[in-house]
Amino acid sequence: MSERASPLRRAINLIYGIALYTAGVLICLICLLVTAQVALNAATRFLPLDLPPSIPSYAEIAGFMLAGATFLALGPTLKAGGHVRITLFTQRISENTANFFSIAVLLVGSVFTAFAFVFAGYLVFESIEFGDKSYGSVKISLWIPQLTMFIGLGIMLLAFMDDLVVALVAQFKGGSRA
Amino acid sequence: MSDPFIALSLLALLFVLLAAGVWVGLSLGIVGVAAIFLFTNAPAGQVLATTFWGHSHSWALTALPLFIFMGEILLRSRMGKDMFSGLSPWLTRVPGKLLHVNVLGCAIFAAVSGSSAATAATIGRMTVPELTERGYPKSLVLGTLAGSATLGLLIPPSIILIVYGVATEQSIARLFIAGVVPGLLLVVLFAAYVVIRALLSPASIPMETMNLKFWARLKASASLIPVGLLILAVIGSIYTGLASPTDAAAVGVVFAIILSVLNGSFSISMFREALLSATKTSCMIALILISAAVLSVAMGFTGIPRNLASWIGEMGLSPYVLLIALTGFFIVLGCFLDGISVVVLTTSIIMPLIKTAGIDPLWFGIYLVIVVEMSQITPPVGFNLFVIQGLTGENILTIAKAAFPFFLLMVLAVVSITAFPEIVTTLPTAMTR
Repeated sequence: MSERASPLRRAINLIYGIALYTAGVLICLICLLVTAQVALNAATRFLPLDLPPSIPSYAEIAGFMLAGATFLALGPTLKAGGHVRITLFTQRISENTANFFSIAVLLVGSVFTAFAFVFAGYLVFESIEFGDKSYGSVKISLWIPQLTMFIGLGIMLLAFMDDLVVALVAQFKGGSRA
Repeated sequence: MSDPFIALSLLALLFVLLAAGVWVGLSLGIVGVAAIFLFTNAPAGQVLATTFWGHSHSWALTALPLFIFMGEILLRSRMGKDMFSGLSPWLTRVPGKLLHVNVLGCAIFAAVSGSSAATAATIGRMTVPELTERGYPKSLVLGTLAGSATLGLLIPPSIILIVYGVATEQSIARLFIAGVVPGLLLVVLFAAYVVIRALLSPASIPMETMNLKFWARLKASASLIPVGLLILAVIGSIYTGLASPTDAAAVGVVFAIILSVLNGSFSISMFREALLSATKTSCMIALILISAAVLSVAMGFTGIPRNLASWIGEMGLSPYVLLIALTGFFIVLGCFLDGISVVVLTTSIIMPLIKTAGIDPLWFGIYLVIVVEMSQITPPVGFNLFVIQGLTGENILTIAKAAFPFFLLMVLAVVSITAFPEIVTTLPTAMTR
């Protein structure tokens, strides 16, 4: 787009950016945590030091960070065209039909993501209600990592609605796409 | 309502969603939710949320972003260039000469990267212009690249084997080790084919004047030695049980960064690009996985996979007939879907069938990956074909035709591991002892 983006557009893009970078940082943290554990493993095996055998609950915490990275990256990955889809058939139809299909699949995506978003929220609510904790030696309240699923699905919903609105505006105004 | 009706209507729904262009990672979940909602009494929304959550944070799956990240860093660190200058001095006397750079380069790169598209792009970017300029026959240049790049799926660390292992609850370490010998078998088959073609028509292979002394050759390949050590460290630590695949992946990332710092290709922007690209790729795969998990759970509720297994069981087919039928089915499926989607889609439906038929799930994983490799180089949807098309501008059918002999070699590999399952099972069995 050539003209300056509207404040709303910039705010939404900022949300995608923050989500993607947070996901990337989580992957770096997983890498550091696991490397630290491997180093600790090697140190206890080869050095005459009295070290604890492992970082408490490191596998579980790495898993939670993975979930965070996955869910937070959902929306930005959608915007970047990173999710796989089949375009074999939609490439071969007329432009009008293709536009119809692209709006229809965005609608399907929005509805399904909204459904998942609502029930992810319900899961978080239940975890708080029942005080669910993780199984490892470090007891983490499950709602904390689960919140990343809720937020991440929310950002993916935003991304779907964003694309949907842009596609609808382009369709009905017939003007250039934003 | 009868099973066949339920199964067919769900299949039709899946087909419509995929054909309309709904993202694969969502389509599987939508069909799963529809199955629960329409044909069972379970609460679809709660099942969706708990399955998404439950399958998104496993320790085994944590290896996924790390191995992708490691590959992304090495991809950006001059590896393709080093591969050509490091391997070519050794190959000038072998029949087929520098065409083997494609085969060996892909095999080595496959051992640090889990993706065949990345392997094709990295190696091909360097070798295609070089080999074409030197006058090697185009069909062999394209064919060796398309065929060998699929090794990225089989030689550990393999992204698709992580996906299979997570989806079917098999040990990823054992799957990785099981992939080593079949991967080497394919390398030998590909190289042998190049040798035979070169011997049959020696005139088609250009002269190579370069003929270095041993030490000069070793010096030329010095840059490959650190990468070789990295590969040995990753595979070796998994094989000896010193590290889990996730551990090896994390340490692999650290070493990949150190390597790129040492050879001067590291920069902050390169690191950021590699990280964000890995984040997005891993997210895309994880979404397909958790969505497929929803479909699996839904299928479990409907009981279709169990009934399918007993139905096929009653037909009294031999495992061989079953495998032939499945191979055809996977190749057709692979014509429309990417490899990871094929794997998760089939595992969620046919795993009970495989177990009933008495097929070892570990062996089946390797078999499935080779068949998926074949589908990567068959039109209309073969990801390696697309990558090479983007790289060379050649027509996709030309590339597919050049790759066809390699497709047949993979068929030979599948027949071999079926006739001699020990090719797959020996190493992982030795590992558990």
